[in-house]
Amino acid sequence: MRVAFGMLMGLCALLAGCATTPQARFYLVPDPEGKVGEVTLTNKAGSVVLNKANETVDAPGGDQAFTDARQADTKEIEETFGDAFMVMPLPPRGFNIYFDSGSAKIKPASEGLVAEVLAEARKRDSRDVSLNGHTDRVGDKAANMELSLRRADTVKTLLMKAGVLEEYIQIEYYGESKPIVPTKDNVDEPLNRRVEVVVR
Amino acid sequence: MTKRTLLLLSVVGILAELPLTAELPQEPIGSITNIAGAAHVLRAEQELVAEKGLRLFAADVLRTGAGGGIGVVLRDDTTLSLGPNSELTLSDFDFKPDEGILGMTLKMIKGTLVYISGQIAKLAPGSAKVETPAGIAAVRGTKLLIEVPETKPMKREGKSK
Repeated sequence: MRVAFGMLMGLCALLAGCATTPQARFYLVPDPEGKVGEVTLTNKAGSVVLNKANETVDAPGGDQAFTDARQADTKEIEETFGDAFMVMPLPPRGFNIYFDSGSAKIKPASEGLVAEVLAEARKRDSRDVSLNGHTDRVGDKAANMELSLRRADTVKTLLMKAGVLEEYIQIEYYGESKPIVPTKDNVDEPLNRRVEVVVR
Repeated sequence: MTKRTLLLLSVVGILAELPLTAELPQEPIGSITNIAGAAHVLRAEQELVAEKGLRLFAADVLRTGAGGGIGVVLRDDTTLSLGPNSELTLSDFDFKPDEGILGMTLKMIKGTLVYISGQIAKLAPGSAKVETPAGIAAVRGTKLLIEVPETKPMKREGKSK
């Protein structure tokens, strides 16, 4: 049996028909911001780097080397990946909502942002929202831990009112342990009094 | 009943409850955000119907049928989607930037994958990997498309089609 397969593999290497069905094909395309990154492909026969828009390479399979890179047109890409594009998630969106000192009350200046968070959650019918609560270093650590949770809860309540089910909201809270602006103890720092929101 | 027996009984009681608490709940590594047609998640011998909002865990296998599709957002902001007749394993996922623990491995078994890298590829270039039957892609922050055709004429142990 193995010999037969081995012969088949040998035949495939000779026949053009087999070569047109690679075991894997890779395409590098611009990301949503138009940026083209870089990917290194590696197999037993070596490695190849893709770093140009719409560059594509085949891995024929077995121990064979990657083919030379070629430029794919958008039609080919759309034909192969069109269905997958249809279910591609929107990029997650992050927001920082700021709070009054020592309180779980959202700053008036952040209320517009809160409206945006709620609109985004509604628009996506989001079923995955993360809330990370934080404080500055005014007050003691334990109280700040509890305050960071209350801040996250404030946002959670608003999201639930906007229709996001509780089971789809996860909260983490860190007190004063993860500042954006590191400060000495008992320093009032508005940028650290925040809830980081990610809507997916 | 002596005090001693009571104590013993309560100790037994605590021990009996241990198996429930000893198993640490695994952290979700992401969730499903988009669905089309027939799509499933294989988790520890179980086949779950893929639904928007379903939390995903390391080692989960995403599988779509004819006309199926799944879109996923992982916790490091990686977004990916599968077209029809596709299968992908979320083999490993470590996203603890504070501890410098970063890495992910996806295994593309078959079908079509659209992949936009997230923070892991950004913070630790090359540590986000997509394995295929014929080569590994190490991503340094970008959008990548992978097709693994179902016919595998060159794979020795593959099904003859």
